[in-house]
Amino acid sequence: MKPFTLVTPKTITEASSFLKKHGDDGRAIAGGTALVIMMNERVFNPEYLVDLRGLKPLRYVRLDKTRGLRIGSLTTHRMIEQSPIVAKRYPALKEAFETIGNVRIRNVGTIGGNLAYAEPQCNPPTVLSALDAEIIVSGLKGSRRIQAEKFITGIYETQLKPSEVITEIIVPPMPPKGSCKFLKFTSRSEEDKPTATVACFLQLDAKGVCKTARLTIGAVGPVIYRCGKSESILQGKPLSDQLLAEAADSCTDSVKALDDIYGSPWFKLEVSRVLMLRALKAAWKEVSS
Amino acid sequence: MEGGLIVKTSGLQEVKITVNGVKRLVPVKSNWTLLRLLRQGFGCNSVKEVCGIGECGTCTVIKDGKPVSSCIELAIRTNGSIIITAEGLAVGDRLHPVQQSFVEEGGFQCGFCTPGMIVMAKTLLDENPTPTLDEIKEYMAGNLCRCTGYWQIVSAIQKASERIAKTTASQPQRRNNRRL
Repeated sequence: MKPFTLVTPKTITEASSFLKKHGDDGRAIAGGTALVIMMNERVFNPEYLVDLRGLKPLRYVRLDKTRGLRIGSLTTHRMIEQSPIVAKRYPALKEAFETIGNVRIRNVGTIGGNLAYAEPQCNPPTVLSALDAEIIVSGLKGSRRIQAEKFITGIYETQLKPSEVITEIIVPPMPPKGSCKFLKFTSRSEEDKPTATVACFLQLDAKGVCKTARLTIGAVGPVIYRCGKSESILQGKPLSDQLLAEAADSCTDSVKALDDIYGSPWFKLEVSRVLMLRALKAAWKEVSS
Repeated sequence: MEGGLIVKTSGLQEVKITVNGVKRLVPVKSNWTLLRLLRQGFGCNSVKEVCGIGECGTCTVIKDGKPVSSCIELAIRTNGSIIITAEGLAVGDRLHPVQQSFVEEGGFQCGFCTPGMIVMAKTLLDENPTPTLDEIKEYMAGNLCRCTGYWQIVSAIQKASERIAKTTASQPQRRNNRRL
């Protein structure tokens, strides 16, 4: 690892102004579980590290009746995994966070850090996109909201501007007759990077007709994919096994899978399709019971 | 100084850290990991580097009550923290219940992963004194052992759990005192 200078800001504004001043030479560090490895391997050599860990008020998981679940960006994966609110209302979120790395990584790694790292193989972006979450980022000109599904623009690339820091993640309230499921497949060991991750959100109306469907696929390519065609197959129709199968069959239509050690493009798409069908069936079962 | 910010120089920087009950002010370089500080600055050779990416668990230490991978923790960011390594578990000649159970159940062969396993098992039992088999497996999944096949390690943790339950049941008064 190359030597660097550590900066410990007391407020977000201080962090933003420092990041703005140093541009590409500076980088914010939260848990550091990904960044320190990249620095150790000299893949990334920032001159300045802006330590966000001191910003303790950004560690929380709260339920707001109107806005939904609010998670501070410095909340660790382990805190989310162990939160009773998350377990009760957003089981898919719990599933996604409890299968990140191992206990030590989850004790240190943060939700904000994970999103800013922008690795499409991570669990949070896929499940947060299906839940229609918003990412609140704060810069020198105030804060703005970014939709979770549009946040990652490429491998290790996000919509974040140099001076911006993620402050909060807001997940809309889970509606009655709504269900979200998250599934992932790893080709080797459990804690390995996944071949594919899928998440689906289904909401039925009082008559059992599908009101909302949001289907997302992660890990296979450089971004998180939303399955627009499958969603339009499901929306406005009463669900059936046949309809779910039809939706799953076309879920990979607009997905561009990359060829790597986690699988060939064909394999990744096939795994996605199978996982999506399982996720849809599980969500349908939960929402109709 | 940068408008109220503390900018640390890239040379040596002092860090206040408590390791196994000893509080010290130690100079560290910005690019040192906690692992390097513990081995070179404190002589804690139980902390070992294997994978260097937080996956194998041989560098596990307890930082402020939680297990972390010291190989991916920057020493310069541990100012004010309390670290416990495998060296800090025994009291004199009396082994910690987890250590004693590992000895009795043969929870090791070559011993390289053992300090990490023991530290991880200790925090598991601190968090959850009576874990189920699945909970043990899930918690210990991030610690790799290439010798034992894991069963001896799992049974050592089960034995340690029983041992700790017995001790706390026979000494309720002491436990209350310790909490105060």
